[in-house]
Amino acid sequence: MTTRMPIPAPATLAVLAVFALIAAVAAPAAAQEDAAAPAKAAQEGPHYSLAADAAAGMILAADGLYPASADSAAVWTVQANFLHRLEAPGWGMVLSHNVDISGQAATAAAPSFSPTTTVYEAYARLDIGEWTQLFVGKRRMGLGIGSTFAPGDALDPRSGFWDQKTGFRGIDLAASIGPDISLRAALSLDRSFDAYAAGMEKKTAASAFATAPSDAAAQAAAGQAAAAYAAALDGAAGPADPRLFTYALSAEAQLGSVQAAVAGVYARGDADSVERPSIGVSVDLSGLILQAEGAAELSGAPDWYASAGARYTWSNGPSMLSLSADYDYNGRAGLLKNAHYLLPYASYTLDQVFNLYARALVELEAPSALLSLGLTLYPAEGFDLELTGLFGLGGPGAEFSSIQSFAVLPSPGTGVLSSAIGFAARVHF
Amino acid sequence: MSLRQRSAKPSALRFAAVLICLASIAFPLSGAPSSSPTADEILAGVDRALFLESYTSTVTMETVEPGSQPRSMTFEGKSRKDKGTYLEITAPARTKGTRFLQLDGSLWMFNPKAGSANALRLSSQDSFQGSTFANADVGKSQFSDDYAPQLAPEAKLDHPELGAVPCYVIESKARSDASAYGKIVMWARKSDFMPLRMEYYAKSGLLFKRMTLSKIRSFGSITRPSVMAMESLDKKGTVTTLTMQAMEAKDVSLSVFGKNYLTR
Repeated sequence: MTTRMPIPAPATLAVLAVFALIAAVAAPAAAQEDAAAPAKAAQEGPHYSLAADAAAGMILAADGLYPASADSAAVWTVQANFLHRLEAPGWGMVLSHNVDISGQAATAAAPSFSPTTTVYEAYARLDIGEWTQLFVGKRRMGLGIGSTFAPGDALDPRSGFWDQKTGFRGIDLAASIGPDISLRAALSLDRSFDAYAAGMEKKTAASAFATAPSDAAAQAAAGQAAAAYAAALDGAAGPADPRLFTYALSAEAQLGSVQAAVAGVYARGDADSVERPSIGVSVDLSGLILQAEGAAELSGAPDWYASAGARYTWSNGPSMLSLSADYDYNGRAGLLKNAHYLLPYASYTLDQVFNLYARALVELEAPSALLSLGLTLYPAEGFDLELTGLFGLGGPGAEFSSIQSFAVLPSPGTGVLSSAIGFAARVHF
Repeated sequence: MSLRQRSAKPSALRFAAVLICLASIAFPLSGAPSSSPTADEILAGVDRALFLESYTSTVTMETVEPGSQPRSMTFEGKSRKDKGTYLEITAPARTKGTRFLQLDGSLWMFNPKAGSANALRLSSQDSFQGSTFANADVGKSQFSDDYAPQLAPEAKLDHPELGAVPCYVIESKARSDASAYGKIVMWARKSDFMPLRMEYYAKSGLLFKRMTLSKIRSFGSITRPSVMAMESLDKKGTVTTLTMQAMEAKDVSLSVFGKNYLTR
């Protein structure tokens, strides 16, 4: 599941155009070097690479899949993911985006298509000396040690239940003290950008009302819009107002098979201030990876967050079985509404033949669960056939009794959307 | 000057020339071993023959096993002795862009196509990408750190490409439990310590993998086997072959060996 953040088409096109231009310049140079020396690793100039996939399929969503009823609907899906990279000694650029032209209900007389471009990441990297890197742009960043739950990650918190991130817009400085200790400082402009954009929207609305000053009602509405503008602006004086910045610092150390991390996130504000220190540790016990992390939210009434998990991978030739289980204690409602969660996960891969996985986010109090199942077949090189299922399990009103907010289409009937099954063919290139 | 005195000079020159010839036989200029190298010297020679201090490489890995299609993968790597190894898959398309960072005691994997920003920690003892190599093998930049060698009787190795080759044999035992294997027995060519065969023993003492090194070729400043075929002895017919396509001595930036670079 991916949170979509449609961006204005001109901005998207501009970003894509810049990359296309750079790629066009870099590619011939890279090709010439390839011809001159097969050792690609020896390239000194900018090197462009693209990893991409395109998928077409169908999602069937239903209020209840069985027995089959009229309360079901199908959506055709067509989408492509692109990861562009431009690497050069001392710098690099990344653009990761998705283009989705999935249709609406297939039963509609005239399917309406709504192409959406989602930019996951768009950033530039500058190496400063041997051990320091500066990142500018929109970028996903993990804070802390957790790979499933990240209690201390309040800078770029996950946007989905399976550790997905939308990335943050800002600056990130990463430095290492030798290979075993890394330090990180990040500055997020997300709140400032969002407040300014919301303020501008309200201001535009206020201006529209103000065109008829003789109308008392319009003037009153304009006054309300101006007040809303000020409220939406949240005190921002511009698109980059330091009062709305979010700051993060982290340090990680590798001590043999033990890894430890401390981090802190700070943002001031009225209702959305953040003061989140965290500490985590991970250890490899002969293949069994154990990890634990704790965090405290000190703004307002203090709240606690914690997670603990174990992961094991067994492999035998082309067979690989991965098992993990993570527990999460969530002290304050956010993406997760309640306090206690468990996320078991199992995946079996027979290399070049298939992958089968099952995972569930279980809310332990109500209880309810979000169950995700998937089977991917690899019938040919670079070609996958995917079958996925997402099921909400739980009584009425339970947190995961509905998958409404994760499905690509609204409930086809009057009931609660509880199931979605997808099929897709995917090509990698 | 007497006749005896006049003839002394050519005689001394001849004597010196003979000495140089003898010395060159005893101590070849190739850096090859002295008459009785120690086990440590042989293992150091094996390390020198296989690894550079700092280098980049392009490697293709193909695994063949009965009843399955061959599986192939290509990596670009950056290695630095005493630091670690960074790898990025360049083919096939399905896993292109996936990166690995082998540091002392840990292996990390990062898939930039996944929605997560976190690198996943892998166990060094697991199989690397379904091959007969362990994760720990892939990032290996010298054996002498992890294994303590002992001399075994010299032997003539029946090599599939080179025929009968006189070899030193050393048994290198794991220095700690963190090593991927309990013991590695190595056959190194007597003339230049070039490793030609390695046998891998589990910690239980079971011989379970055998690697044959062949196609010796020059990669600029290093001449080494370009093909390493790791055969699984407990799964008959399963072989993973690493082919070194390119290798170049290069001063790899230290920043490559940090998790910040892995998730860049």
